[in-house]
Amino acid sequence: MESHEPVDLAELLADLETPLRRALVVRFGVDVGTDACRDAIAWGWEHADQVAAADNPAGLLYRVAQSKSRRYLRWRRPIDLPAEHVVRDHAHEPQLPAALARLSDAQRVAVVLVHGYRYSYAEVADVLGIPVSTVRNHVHRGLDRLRNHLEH
Amino acid sequence: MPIDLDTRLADYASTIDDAIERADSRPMAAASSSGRGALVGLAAVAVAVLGLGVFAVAREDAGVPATQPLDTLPAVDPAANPPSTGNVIDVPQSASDIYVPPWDPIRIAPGTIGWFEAGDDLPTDIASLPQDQTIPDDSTRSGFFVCASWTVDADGPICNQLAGGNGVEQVTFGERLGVGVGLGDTTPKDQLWNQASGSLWAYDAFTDPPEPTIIPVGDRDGYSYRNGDDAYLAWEYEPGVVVWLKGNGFSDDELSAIAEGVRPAPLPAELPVLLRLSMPSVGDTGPGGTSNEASVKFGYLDGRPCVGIQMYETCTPTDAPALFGAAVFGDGIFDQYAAIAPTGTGLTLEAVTFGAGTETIHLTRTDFGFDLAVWESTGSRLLSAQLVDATGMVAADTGELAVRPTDPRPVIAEGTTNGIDWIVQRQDPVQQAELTEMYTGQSDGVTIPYCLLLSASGEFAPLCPPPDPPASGLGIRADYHETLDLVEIATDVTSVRCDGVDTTIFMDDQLDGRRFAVVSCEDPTRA
Repeated sequence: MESHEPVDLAELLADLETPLRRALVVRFGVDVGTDACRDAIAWGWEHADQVAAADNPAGLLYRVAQSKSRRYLRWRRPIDLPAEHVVRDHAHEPQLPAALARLSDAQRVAVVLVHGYRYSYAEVADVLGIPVSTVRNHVHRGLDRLRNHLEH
Repeated sequence: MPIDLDTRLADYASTIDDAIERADSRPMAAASSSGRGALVGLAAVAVAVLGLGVFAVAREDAGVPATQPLDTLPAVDPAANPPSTGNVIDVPQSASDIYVPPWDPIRIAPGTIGWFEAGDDLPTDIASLPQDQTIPDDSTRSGFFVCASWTVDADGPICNQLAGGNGVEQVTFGERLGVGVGLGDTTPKDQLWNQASGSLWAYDAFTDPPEPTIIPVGDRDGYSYRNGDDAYLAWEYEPGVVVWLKGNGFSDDELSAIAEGVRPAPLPAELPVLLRLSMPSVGDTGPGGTSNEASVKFGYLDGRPCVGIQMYETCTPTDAPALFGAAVFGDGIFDQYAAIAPTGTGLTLEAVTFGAGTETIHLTRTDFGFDLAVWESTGSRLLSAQLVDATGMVAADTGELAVRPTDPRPVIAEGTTNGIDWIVQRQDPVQQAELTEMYTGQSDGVTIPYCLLLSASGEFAPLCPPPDPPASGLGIRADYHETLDLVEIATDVTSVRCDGVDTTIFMDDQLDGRRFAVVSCEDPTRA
């Protein structure tokens, strides 16, 4: 029978927390994303056996956070992405957060994680629990739409 | 000129991290606070990793134990109403990304309208697109609705009218097409703007919605906005039923043709929906007024009847007098408080509010063996609540409901200034606010100057310069619960103190050095 190394849950969750939180904040906004991440990490502590047994703990926690986030969502208010720190000499030019908000949720998360945080496609696929090809598709389509939104 | 998008995105990622760091330093609770499960987990994390375990979080449905049981209560049938083992029932949480309502199914009357589906003549390339993985079945779809009208027979309620929809498309085809519905007191324009404002928000946040384009849907008028390739179309299917489409890459004619084929989806004989008790609509119901999150709800969990306001984490059993409230935001201030008691107890709810004294609210009989009363905030903060009988005997008592003193996020600022609606989320840390440049906006056709108050999370609120800057003392006031004010500080005021503590004063050179502060006490003093 194959033996497994005991999982250090604290270490595992600590490793997962940063990319998970970033993904959730880009997905749901700062407030909801932060709270959903806390919920998911808390869930991880309460379900250590499931986390330890999961093939992809990050993807599992992302799904948990998505489920938990439902309680925070009230109507579809705009995603509360932080304002972009730019020189305000073009006050009426569409800004990056607004353009990102117009992408689909999946595209926005994929674009920011890959091109903002420089995660690899594989790392993003792990966090989101989706195939690498799907991440690549979201990134390419999302970047196209983002450029279009920013240039028009 | 090509945009260096990678650099811009990398810079923005850093900005997001800064925002996360600020958000992470505050206690939990965004749109609503989380519950006991998360607390347990977080406490475990703290104990295991940090050796700390103190978290101050308001419960979204905070049940309050009775301080003195009433010996005059009528006997409760233990078979029909199992004795309460506590003052709240934990609601099971879903551990997957698919939300499955945990409630016992109730019967749905034939012909009841719920969500809508696309017709058979949908173009093949659209019909073959993958369906939304997060709303895979009727049970999940029903989570966006409540039962607004029902009859009761020996086997329980039979729902004959659903309400809600929650601005969520229940049927989707990839990213090309979504079909949603708003059931209740709503209009096509409301539903349309609710959908489109998420897309257009950044450009027209504080102006009136633009006039929609009229697109025919059969013999009815459909209302449409278009934003690039995205198009939104809403129409009234019948009174109280507004259907809407969100399409990508469709012409107006194509969207109109799809709309004509949209039809009510056949509902199953039973759905796990909650019943919305006939109390006044309260809370933030959104522009469509059909949110199912702000009402008192009733349902069965494993055969046990219980009520709640949000019902996300806990609900309150109906077999004993009880008080429960909802603090929607993170400041611990209750927006709504409800009282229940078994029918026949003759109890009344006494709500003590800041500034408004004591309100006595009589309990209303429901169909389910208990009476119910609801207090809702109309600007006065709830200080305490009691369930009392005619002799003054107290059946349940909240004690003093204080704003959480440990919450470092005292900001609450929403309201209307010079006709422009604005909001600063209550959980935003005041110290991150900054005032920026002047803008102008349109309200009822009148051009109004306003400036922006940027909050930490990036939300912003127009703050109009007053016609006459205050000569002394406090100028602009913005107060939701009469506890937190956004004020302009006159030039002769050197400091503002709340409960003896100096409050930060914000200055902005672009506004000629005008100064502002957000105060969290009820009686700020100047110096």
